[in-house]
Amino acid sequence: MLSVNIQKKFAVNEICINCEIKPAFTALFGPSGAGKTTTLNMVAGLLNPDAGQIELSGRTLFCKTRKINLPPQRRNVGYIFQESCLFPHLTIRKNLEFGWKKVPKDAHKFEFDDIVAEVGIEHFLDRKPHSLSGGEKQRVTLARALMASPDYLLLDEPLAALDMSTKLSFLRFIKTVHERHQLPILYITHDLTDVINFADEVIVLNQGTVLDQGNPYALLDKMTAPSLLNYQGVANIIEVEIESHQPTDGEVRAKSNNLHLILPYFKCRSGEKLQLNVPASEIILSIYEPHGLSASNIIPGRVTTIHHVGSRALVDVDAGIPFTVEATSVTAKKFKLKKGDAVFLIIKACSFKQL
Amino acid sequence: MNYHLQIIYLSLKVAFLSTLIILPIGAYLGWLFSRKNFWGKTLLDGFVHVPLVLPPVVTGYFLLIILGPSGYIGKYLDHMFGIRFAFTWKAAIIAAGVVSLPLLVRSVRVAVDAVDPQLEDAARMLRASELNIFFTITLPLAINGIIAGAVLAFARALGEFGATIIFASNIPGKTQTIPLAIFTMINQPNGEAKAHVLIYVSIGLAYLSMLINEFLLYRFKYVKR
Repeated sequence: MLSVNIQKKFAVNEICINCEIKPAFTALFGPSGAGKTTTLNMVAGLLNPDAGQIELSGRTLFCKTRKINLPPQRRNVGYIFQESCLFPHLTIRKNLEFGWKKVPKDAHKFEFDDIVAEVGIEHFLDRKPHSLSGGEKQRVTLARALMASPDYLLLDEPLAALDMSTKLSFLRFIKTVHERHQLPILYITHDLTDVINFADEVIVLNQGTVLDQGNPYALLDKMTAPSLLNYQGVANIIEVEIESHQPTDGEVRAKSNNLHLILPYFKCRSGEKLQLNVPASEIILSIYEPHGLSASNIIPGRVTTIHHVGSRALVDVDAGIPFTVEATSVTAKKFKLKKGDAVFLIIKACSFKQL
Repeated sequence: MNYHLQIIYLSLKVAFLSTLIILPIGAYLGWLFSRKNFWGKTLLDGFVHVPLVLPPVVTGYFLLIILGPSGYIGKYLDHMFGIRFAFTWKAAIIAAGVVSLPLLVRSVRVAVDAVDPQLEDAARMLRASELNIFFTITLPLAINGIIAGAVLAFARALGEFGATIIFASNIPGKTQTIPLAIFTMINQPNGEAKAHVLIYVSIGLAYLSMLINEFLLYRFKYVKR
């Protein structure tokens, strides 16, 4: 549990944050200037609040009245900045070792080689940061933060500069790391898409105060038009392995778990692993098995949950792998959808986008 | 010729040692002025920089009344430890160091300003101590600017005249550096020809220093990423 209770005055505005943050994947959401980065910097110890206190799982990181102020080095908090902030004069390996060597031998939470393999950066360990792409840099930054064995990971919109597909793929990866290592994450974003797709909980900041805290889906309903402008909808990110690819058929066959999918033809290798995204709004839901459709993928599954969000319904379906389907609330009610119902998902081959 | 070599050797020794001594001081002060805000910063900044604009003769005079045999600090150094600076080659080093320090501090400050402070924050979040951050992040990233500053300070020390002639005096074989020797030779009847060798050496050393300085600054600007 991270408990933040702080005030800080600036020349033109003031920040006053009070919240209890569960050890989960939490999004800190709000417009520019809401105080998101300032809050993160105060949790990290890079900026001192004027008053209040910060506690992390029972440890006091900052307390004005008791005059406690742990330096950033002793807070056991990892921080990934908006810019990658890799040390430009060191190789990737030296960058990773930087934090690794500062942790006592018996206090390491992860194995060096495990993280390198997990993040998939083995082949450029001896290169310098300037030769990497934006996505690669962020993966190294994540690995470097993990090497210092943090109890908590802070991310300041590390993907703002990356394109949509790199961003989705990286966030999905962070989510996997979060789940595998039970590492709590506080993640800044001003993009509703990220919140809906990845966060367990969301804290909404506006003008320096906590406006709302809770379930990300509940947020969709409350959002006003401007914040929805670049909202890309709920994404379904799936990992597939290529089974066969025939230019003559004009299609690629792939599987994910035991689910076989048909994708439009593109150049690839058999056995190659890919990440695909199919937006929830592009999947059609049917309660009968459809026939005579042009869509290539007709997938049987069962409803697991239904979230009603205003006029929308987000239906989670288990089809061997989980899918989320976006429909109107009216449709969901007309079909009398409930948990356990057998349904069919209709997905056109070209609705799958490669990440 | 031996006479000339001895003068050149003394000059190089004084310039080299004074640069070596002010290097850690200048690196620290430049970093301090770039990264920290503290009470009296402007005052200290002014104090370090004033020899840059003060007539060097005045700087030499102040050194004499502070560190001279009956100076405020000098008399205690003499009484308690038997240390005398004035009118020795050590005084030439002090004079050259004080006059060239501001050039070094300015270069270091500009070089440290160019290092992204967020890199230092990133190192903090990776548990690096402040001292460790200075030596492993800030210093290596600013090193070209620091060396360029040191070369500039070295060149300035080689050319130092005013403060040296007051504080170290112009004693042949003891404190007579190249500029002082040229001054003495030109003032002697028919001494101008003797001064020519030293004049050429001065030009050569100064030009070489500036070339190294420019080369390092160029690398600092365009090659470092």
